[in-house]
This record gives sequence, structure tokens and C-alpha cells, in this order.
Amino acid sequence: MKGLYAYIIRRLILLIPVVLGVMLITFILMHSIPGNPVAYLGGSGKLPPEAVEKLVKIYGLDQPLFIQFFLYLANLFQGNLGTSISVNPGANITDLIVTAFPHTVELTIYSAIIMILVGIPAGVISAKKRNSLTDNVTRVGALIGVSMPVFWLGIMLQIIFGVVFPIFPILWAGIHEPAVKVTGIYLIDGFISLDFRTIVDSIMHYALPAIALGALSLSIVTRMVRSSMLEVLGEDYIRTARAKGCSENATIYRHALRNSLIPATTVIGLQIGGLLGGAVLTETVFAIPGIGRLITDAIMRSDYPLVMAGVLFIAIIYILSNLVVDVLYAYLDPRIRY
Amino acid sequence: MRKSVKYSLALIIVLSLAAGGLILLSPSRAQAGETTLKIAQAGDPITLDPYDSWDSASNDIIVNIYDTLVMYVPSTLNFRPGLAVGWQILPNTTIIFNIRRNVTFHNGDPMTPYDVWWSLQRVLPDAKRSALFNSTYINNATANPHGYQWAELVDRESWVWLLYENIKDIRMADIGFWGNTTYTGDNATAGDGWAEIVVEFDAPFAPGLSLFSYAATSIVNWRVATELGPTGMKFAPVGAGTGPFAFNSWILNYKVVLDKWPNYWGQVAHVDHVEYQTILSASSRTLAITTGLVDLLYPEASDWYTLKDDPNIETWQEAGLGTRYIGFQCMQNVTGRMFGILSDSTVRKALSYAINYDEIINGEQFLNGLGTRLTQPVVPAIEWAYNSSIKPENEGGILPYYNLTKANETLNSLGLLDVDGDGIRDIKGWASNSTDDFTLIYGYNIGNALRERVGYLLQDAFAQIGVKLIVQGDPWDVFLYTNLAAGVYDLWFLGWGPDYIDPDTYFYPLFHSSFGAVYDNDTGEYTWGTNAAGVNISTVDYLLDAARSETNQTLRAEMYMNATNILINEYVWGWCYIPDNTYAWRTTISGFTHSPLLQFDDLEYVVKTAGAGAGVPIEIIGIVIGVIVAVAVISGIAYWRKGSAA
Repeated sequence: MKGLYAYIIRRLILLIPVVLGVMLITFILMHSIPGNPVAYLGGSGKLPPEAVEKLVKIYGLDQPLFIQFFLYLANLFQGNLGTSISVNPGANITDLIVTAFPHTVELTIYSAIIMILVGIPAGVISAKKRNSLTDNVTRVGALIGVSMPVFWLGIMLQIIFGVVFPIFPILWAGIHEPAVKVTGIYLIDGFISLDFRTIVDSIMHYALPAIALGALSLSIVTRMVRSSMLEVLGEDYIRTARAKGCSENATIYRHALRNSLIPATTVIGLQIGGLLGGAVLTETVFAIPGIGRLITDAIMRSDYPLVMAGVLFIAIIYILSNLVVDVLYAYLDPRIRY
Repeated sequence: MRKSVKYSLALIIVLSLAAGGLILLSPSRAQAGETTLKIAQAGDPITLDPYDSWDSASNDIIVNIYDTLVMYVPSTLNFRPGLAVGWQILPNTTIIFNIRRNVTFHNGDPMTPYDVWWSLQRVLPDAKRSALFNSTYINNATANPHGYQWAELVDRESWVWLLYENIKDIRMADIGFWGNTTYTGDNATAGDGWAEIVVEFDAPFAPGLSLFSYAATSIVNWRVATELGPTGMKFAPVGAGTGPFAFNSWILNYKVVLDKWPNYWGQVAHVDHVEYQTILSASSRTLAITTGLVDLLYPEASDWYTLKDDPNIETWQEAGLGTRYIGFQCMQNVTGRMFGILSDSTVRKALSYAINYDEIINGEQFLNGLGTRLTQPVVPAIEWAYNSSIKPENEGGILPYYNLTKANETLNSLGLLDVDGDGIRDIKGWASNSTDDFTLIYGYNIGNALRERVGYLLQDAFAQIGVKLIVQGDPWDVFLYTNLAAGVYDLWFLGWGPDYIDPDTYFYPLFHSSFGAVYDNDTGEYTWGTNAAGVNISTVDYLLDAARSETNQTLRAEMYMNATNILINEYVWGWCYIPDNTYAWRTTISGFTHSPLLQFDDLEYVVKTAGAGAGVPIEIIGIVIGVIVAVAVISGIAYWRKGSAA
């Protein structure tokens, strides 16, 4: 156990150089793209040049790049992410991220539920009935899921389940606001305030985006579970289990599944990390004001500080979710030691 | 097994009942019966403080929270009294506003002439603010405890104040003047305790009145503004306005909610709330209105005909207030390239014949019918200064139309011939070397697909008249502030929108020589001016200056029409089109007035009737979900127990 803590601390320390590297690369990339946020503000063409100059000075955009970078880092270490320049001019970036992130988390929760609850059983069944019709259908389905562009699937779902059969709302926008906002995750807030309408509205409004977003991860998980399951089913201890008279279900769920889930955990963990970083296209198509849409918007409008903060945030989320996966390994597989 | 079936059934019933019961008890049910007008916006507003708003998304909200002194009769461009019940325009530089009484702000504070004076002073550039404002407010620790400067570009990014450069002074004066009689000075009854607002201009400024209809001059509650400060006013101006709707909440990047203001001085709103939803994806906005998730939006050009055919949706289309043109570099020899060939008006005339106006307006790849041919600087909506007799030649008028033969003939008549036989005309008379190819550069801003396509359309047409056209896309800031200013392009595509409703805004910034690009000797760089074409015609300058100070509308109209004639005969622009204003709204709402200003104004007149059976009722959904969850839980448990039982 002591080794594990040391490992976690080591990984957390490693976070610093990684984050610095990410920041530097993002900073250079953002500034090499033509255009600047002030020009975006003057989009009507009526912003007089003097005003542009003044704004450029206010935001320090006239400083040499490396000075801008160090000023940014200095602010960052004081916990100041700055204010948005062109997306929501003047808005505190920390506030923007704190408002947007719960929506992304909620979408991730739903997508993960779909991914895990459908993906794992589908993979298991597919492996159990290898080369049967079920297996083939699952495999083809997974292949389609991996190949379909998310935005296309999203629009199709909107048209089919929102327009032709009006079951689900086509957009997130219009969701019922919980009376009490504790977490910002409406499903949880709904339970806290026992506002059933919020719970139902959350499920209904997240249904289509979660399916659209979950389809890809679901397919990856299904394929992963199927292949590792097949591998495990050929192991000696499975033969032993069968030989001692274990029922087929018990063999599969007790002995095979646990072992085959180890590689699947990696995939699921990384997928969740990726989902938490914001699903840009899904959030745009379904009008979810989440983190992905915020950052895309920031990139489109060259909102430097917001892009930097967003990328920093996503990088940290991704690194942490990786860490969680690695730690989980130790629990799932006693052979792994840190 | 039987027992478990019983338990399962019981669980299903309990969960379903719980779902139904909770819905019935939900706090949200209490709000049922209230109407909410839902509007889809393509972007989040920038600010809710009128004083630094310039973008359409902000303006659409601001006009409903605040009032201005002068307002428009719904769906027209005619003035009506707003927070000023009347006004007198004294010859020649002064306007007196009689301020409306018994108006209350959204927090219950009564609106006084001081609020009006304060709001207008705040908009002014630093140097124009009165000493009284600075001493009694800005530098006064009691009145302004937080020390807000409200100075442009220090606290915030405001530049609308540039519109008010012509204002000399705005003051309160209790001259006891009230009503519709003409103010002569003699009929004043001093000191009735309710001050008038006197606005004085530096020089006679005919469009002066229209400045006070502009959203930036909205009247705000000075106490609230002082309390909230620039940031508060920007994001949550609670109680700051007098308009038909009061600010309720703004969830950044999601929605802005306004509530009906029951004590509004004018028509009290019919709907209880207005919700502006930010939906970035164009296809999602269209789906949202076709399925009834939103009631009103600016339709997407690509979906216009779909919406038009939808029986549940009403649409509106008319020529708007903006203008789109292909500018020609009229200045002599700005960069030395092509030897200032476009400074010759006959060359510009020839090129004007090579623009396929019809294709740009009606072509599917272009406007797809959502525009009207631009024939002169002003738009038809400014009726009194618009010369409706100006038409394209093929309709019996004088404007160039798409005719390559004429273009060729005109260029031939100038002696611009293809000397070396490579299919491209050669510069002659403009250069010592007469075998230089006649090559021009067309500039547009990257990302604007229409302007890019226009470039290739021109390239194609120009090739047929022996002119080589290079289509060059640049990012917006490079396009406008660097290249256009420095004269890198010979021709370019650009648009213009009015700052106020007067011909002055269509002429002065675009054709007066004082608005051209300025060369800085120190830096060796050009600074961009709105007159990017570099139009420099002394008669036009004279007419525009004179029209600014003339108050007789008939004379003004004459001056503008004269200027129009000169500009048309000089072929300074390729007069392209006026984009149409389009609105789409669901038939469940009525009373929507389609403002010519292309803004969601006058929403207080909108009535919304509940749509017939929009979707499945929430109660049924709740029960269905309850049952599904219960069944899933039970079967999951059963399956798991079966599996592990062995």
C-alpha cells in the first residue's frame, strides 16, 4: 500500500512538467494561428483603430510572446485564470469553466452508463456465443458504432426520435432548471431537492446526446471485452472451473469476466477521461453548454486565455483519469504492484 | 419464485406511483400556465449593459430591458416618443427632450431626469462629459463610492461613444416646458420641478435625434449601475432598466431569461417570460423551431425555403438596412501596383459590367433569392432620401448590369489591348512597359464562403474580358486593418450597416474624404478608414457636410440624391445587394412586429397561445421511466442471482 501512495505522489509530481509542456505548446500554437481576439471583437469593422490599439494594450497582446507567456504563468500560479476576451468578454474564466463542467460531467455519466451497461454484456454475450448470429450482429453493430461520425449520428437521432417520432427533446436547451443547484449536475440536484421533474427532464434531455456520444465508446468497449473474454476463456483455470462442475454462467461471470475486465478497464477509463474533456460535436449539435463547446468557441474566436485555461483543464482531467485507471489496476489484479 | 414475482409487481407499482406523485408535487408544476416566449440565438450576448453593446445578440435583449428617449413605431422606421414624451429641435444645434413622468425602474425606483442625464453623460467620451458630471458623480466619493470611471476602454470595451463625438453638451434644465407647443424661450415657466434634457451639438447635426433611439443611449438606473459597477451591469443588470421586460438571469453560453415588468409605462407584455437560448449549431436552430422548442429566430439562409413551406411557421422577408458592395481602389497609386489603374472611373465602369449581380442575388450558391439589388448608397427603407428611379440599364436605368460585351467594349475604348497575345490585356498608358498583364487582386475575409465564391465568379467573368484576377483570402483583421488600409487589394467585398437611421450614416463614413485610410509618416503604415475605396470628390464632400447641418428634410434629400448621382457616375463601387431581413416564428405566437432594424423589438405585443399537444406529457414519461427502471432493476437482480446460484 505504501508503494501505491508513493506511486500516486510521483505521478502527481510528474503532472507539473506535463502541464507546463501542454501550456507552452498550446500557447505557441494559439499565437501562430492568424487573427486575434480583439480583431474578433471589432468584427463589425467599425471598431476604430485607436480602440483596437487600446484593447491590445489592455490585454497585453503587444508584449513579446515569451513575456506574455510568463505573465500568464505568473497569474496562473496565483490561481488567476484571467478573463475571457472574446467569448464572454469580461467574464471570469474560472466561473465559465465551473458553470460548464457539470454539464459535461452529467453527459459523461449518462454515456458511461450506456457504455458500461451495454458494452460489457454485449461483449460477454458475443464471446460466449462466438460465431453465432448474435456474435455477428454485435460485431457488425460495433463496427458501425466505431465508424459513424458523432455529429451525423446526433443529427439522425434528432430527426428520428425528435421529429419523426417525437419522443425525446431534440436539444438540451430548454431543460428544466433545478430549483436547488448544489452540484450543477441536474440529475443529482434533482435527487437532492426531490424534484422529480428535474430528474425526468435530465434523463430525457440527455438521452439522445448520451446515445450519440456513447455509441463510439460503447463499440470500443464491446470489441475490447469480446476479445479479452475469448482470450480468458481459453485459459487453464477456466477449464479447471468447468471441470469442477461450475455452471456455465458461474464460470463466465465469476471466473472469466473479472479477468477479462482488466484490459477493458483501461479503455473505459480513458474513454471517460476523453468524455470529460468535452464532446465538442455532441455538445454543439445538442446545444449543451459544456466544456467542449466552450473551448471550441474560444478557439474559433481566438480567446487566448480561455483556450489556455480549457486545455490546461482537459490535460489535468486526462492525466488524473489515467492515474485512476492505473490505481484501479492494483485492485483488480493483485499481481500488479507499484 | 412466486414470492419474487409479487415483490417485483409491488416494486413496479410503488415506483410508478412515486414517480407520478412526485411530479404532481414538484415545485415546477406551480408555474404551469405561465407563457414563455423562446427565442433561439446563434451566439451568446456580449453584454447586457447598453452602454457598450454593439453586437446583435446583446442588442436583441437590451432593447427589451431598457428604453430610449426616442423609439420606433413597431415595424417601421418612424419615431415615436419613448422616455421622452416630446422634443423640440431648435435651430440649429439644440434638442430639448421632455422627460416622461411616472416611469419606474424594474426595482421600483422612480425614473427621474437625473437618471436620463446620468445615462447620457456616461455614454459620452471622457472629454465630452460635463464638468458637473465629473464633480458630482465620477469624482464624488458619496455618489460614486466604488469609484467607477465608466471611462471607455479602461473598465470595458466601449466604442459606441464614437457616435456621440458631435455632442457638445448634455445638461438638465428645469425650464418648465411641457407639451407640444413650440418652445420659444418666452413660453417657459421656470421651475416646475421636473427638468428637461438639453442636448447641444458642436455643429448643426441633422441626424441628431436618431442618436437617441440607439440602444447605447438607453436610460439606466444610476443608483443600480453605481452599485453593480461595470461587471454587474454587464452580466446581471437587475433592476437597471425601465423596459417591458426585467432581467431575471443569464446562464453564460446557455440562456438569458427576462420577466414581464407589470408596471411598464407602455403596453404591458402579454407573455410572462422571454427566454433567449444560445444554440450555436444552425441545423439545431432550424430543428428547434420546426419542432416547437423555440418560437422565434432569425432563419438560416440555407433553411429558408424549408421554413417557408412549413405550415406551422410564419416567415417575413424584406430588404434590410445593410448594404453589400464590391469596393474599387479609387486612390491613385497607393501601392504602386498596376499604376493606380482603378483610379480611372472608366476602368471601374468596365469592371462593373463584369459583375454578375443576378447570380449573386439569386444563385443557389450565393444569396438564393434573399437579397435585393443595391442601386445607391442608401437603402429603400430610408424612403425620403432614396431615389427609386435609379435602376440597372437593362431595366431602363443607368446602373451597370452584367454584360461582358459592354465591359469588353469599354476596355477596348481605353486602348487596354492584348498586345502580346496571351489572352490577357496589357497595361498601356499607365506604364512604360505596355506588356504588363492587367492583373487585379480581389480581397475577402477567410471564412466568408459567399465572398469567396463571389471572388471566383468574378475571376471567371474577368477572364472573359481579358483581366486576370487573383482571389486572395485573409483573416478578418489582416483583411480589414492591414491590407485594405494599405491598398493591397484592387477590389474587395465588404458590407455596411447603419449606426443610426439617417442617410448620413450611409454616406459620410463611406464617401467623405476625411474617412479614408490615413498614412502615418512615422510608422510608414496606413490606418484603416471606413472609406476604404478612398473616394475623394470635393463636390461629394461639400454635399455631405452641407446635408449634415441642414435641417430642412427636402433640401437634405436633394443633397443626398445629388451626391448619389455623382457616386454612381464615378463607379466608385460595384453596387451589389441589400441582404434581406428575414424572421421566422411559429404560428402559436401572434403580434410579432418585424422590425426593419432586424432586432427582436416590441416583444411586449407578442401573444403566445399554447401549442396543441406538444410531445408526450411529462407525467406519462415519468411513469414509463419508473416502470422501465423497475423492470431493469428486477430483471438484473434475477439474472445475477440465477447466474451466481450455481
